[in-house]
Amino acid sequence: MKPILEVKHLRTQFKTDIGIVKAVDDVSFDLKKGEVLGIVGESGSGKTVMGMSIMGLLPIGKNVSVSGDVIFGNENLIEKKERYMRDIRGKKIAMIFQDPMTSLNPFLRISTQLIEIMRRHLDISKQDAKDRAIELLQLTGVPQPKQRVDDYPHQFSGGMRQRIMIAMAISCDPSLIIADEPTTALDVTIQAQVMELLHKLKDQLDTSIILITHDLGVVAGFCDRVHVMYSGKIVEKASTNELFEDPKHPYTKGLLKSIPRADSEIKGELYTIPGQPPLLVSLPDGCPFAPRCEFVRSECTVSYPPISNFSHERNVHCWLYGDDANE
Amino acid sequence: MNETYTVGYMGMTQMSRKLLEVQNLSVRYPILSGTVFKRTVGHIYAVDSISFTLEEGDILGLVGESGCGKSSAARSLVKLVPAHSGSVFWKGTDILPLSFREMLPIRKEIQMIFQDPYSSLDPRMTAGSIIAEPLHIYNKRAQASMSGSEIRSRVKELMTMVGLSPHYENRYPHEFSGGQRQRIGIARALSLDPTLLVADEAVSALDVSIQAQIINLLRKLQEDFKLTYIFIAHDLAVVRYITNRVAVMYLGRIVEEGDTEELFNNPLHPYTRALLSSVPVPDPKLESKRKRIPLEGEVPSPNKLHKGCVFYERCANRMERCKNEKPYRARMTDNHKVACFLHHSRVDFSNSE
Repeated sequence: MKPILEVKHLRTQFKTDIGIVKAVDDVSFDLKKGEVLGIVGESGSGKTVMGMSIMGLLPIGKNVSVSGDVIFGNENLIEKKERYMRDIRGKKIAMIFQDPMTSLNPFLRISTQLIEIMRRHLDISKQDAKDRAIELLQLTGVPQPKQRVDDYPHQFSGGMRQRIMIAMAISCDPSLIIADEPTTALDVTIQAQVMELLHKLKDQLDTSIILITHDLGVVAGFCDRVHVMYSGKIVEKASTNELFEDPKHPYTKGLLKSIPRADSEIKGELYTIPGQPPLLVSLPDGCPFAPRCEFVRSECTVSYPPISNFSHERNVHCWLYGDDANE
Repeated sequence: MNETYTVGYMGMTQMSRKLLEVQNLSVRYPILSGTVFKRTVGHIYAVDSISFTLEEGDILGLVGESGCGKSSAARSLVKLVPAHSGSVFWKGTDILPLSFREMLPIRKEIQMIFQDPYSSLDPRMTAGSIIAEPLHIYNKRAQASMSGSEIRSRVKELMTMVGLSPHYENRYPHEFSGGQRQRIGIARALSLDPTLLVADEAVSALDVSIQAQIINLLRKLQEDFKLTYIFIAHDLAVVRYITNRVAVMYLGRIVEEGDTEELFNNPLHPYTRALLSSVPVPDPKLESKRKRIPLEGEVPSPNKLHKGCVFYERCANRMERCKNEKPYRARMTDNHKVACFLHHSRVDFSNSE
């Protein structure tokens, strides 16, 4: 089956005073219909910029450049003009942002904001749009939707606002949702409610989801496949089970070992990855993780490791695996 | 009732050295209304009559969701926010009625680490001067007498202690990464040789790999200097790893308290159970099998005092009794107490507080 989204050699670069920041550096992946793909990485690893690049939300110009292909349907979104993207955004690809406090307009009623999107993208009357808005709030679990639809964002709690964001995202029945840290600002019990809701909606609407997060627990419970990002590159791709059972890249291994767990006792010192993530300016040749890697070898500092394929959709960029895996 | 039983409880723990004893501490914030003349129209009952004791070397985790009062509770211990009622005994002295001047020598012993390493450091001061500031203040207030060179070498020592190179002394906060800034915050907190560190979400803003470094540092410092911590966090995995005792707060009250392993393995309060079941676990196989205990609705606004149990409205096991009667904290085992009527039938009431 043809994937719904294909990203090929995506590069996003920012020109700054201190040099060129390669925020996304040669990222390729694809996404099937109804699939949930997790993108994990620490702050500054380029995951959010990647999402923004796919959506065409970056101000491309003198200081910002995006190259590569983003094939969605039969179109390459990278080549498209802003006008075209406006028809895509919100309708075919929707985005859920991290902070529900700042991503809703505080001056407008929830109903206005929900109706606006539907009127923009669908041929629908104002009254029908409002009825659908109430339906959507009902679907996303906002209590008393009829009364509350005309409230302002500040009258809702954080969890409720995120539900409204989700209602907005699914209002035009998109085939792809990019959720950028959708539950990071929420408490755990509310996070559980919101993830439950996303899961249910995904099954109902058969939407594909790209879930950008730093929380490996959320990934474990929600994603089908995971890509691990480090300094703008995808360093490891795996199915969720494979990644947690048998992580290949030293960074992934370190990451999994360094998280304390709520479900079991850990004795002794917590494993740590020494050092800190590199600045994305003037990255050295070779593997960007090499300075922090415990398995570092001479070739690691010379050139970036090629891809080692273990199986279909299971690969890693690390010199440790060299050619053995490809055979 | 609460008071009498608290005394009974304290009798049990006289064996080891008590450092801090909090009794029925409440914190209230007024809700103001009116455009010109502000008047109080109500109160936010942020912390409602909580009690706990800290022994030397304890690492007590205060957990709960946002708005449950954990930060207010900690800040009122350090007198950063005024307490409404109750008492806080520091080595036997009630510190709440003390004046600013009387408080000075005690403040030195209780230091705080803040959540956000970006806003808790003055951007116009160098790392060295940030760490030295408490020392200068205590010099000025004649609580200490350190010469300039003594202070300088102390700063170097502190920086090495928290894993920062002393060469960075003259750098400004923006030149450091988040993890390094948190180390500066920790060095500042340690500068006066405190006994108790109150860490308010000290690792929450950090990335996973950096978080592990800071957690290890906090644990090492605790062992090296026999520190006592109050560790406030919403990340239960971190709390399980670092603490030896945990108090779970909900809507201003401590609903359950116990030894960390005991509490995590055998949570009793319906809220604690729901909370623990909501924490995602980084293991896909376990995640697919786990049963979550869904919590309906949200934490209600703490603008009124509850006659009964604070968790009544959202509790799956609520009974008629919970509505009108406050569940007192009953001792289930030596190191496990829970405020829930469900479990009261199982305990010997003479042991309750």
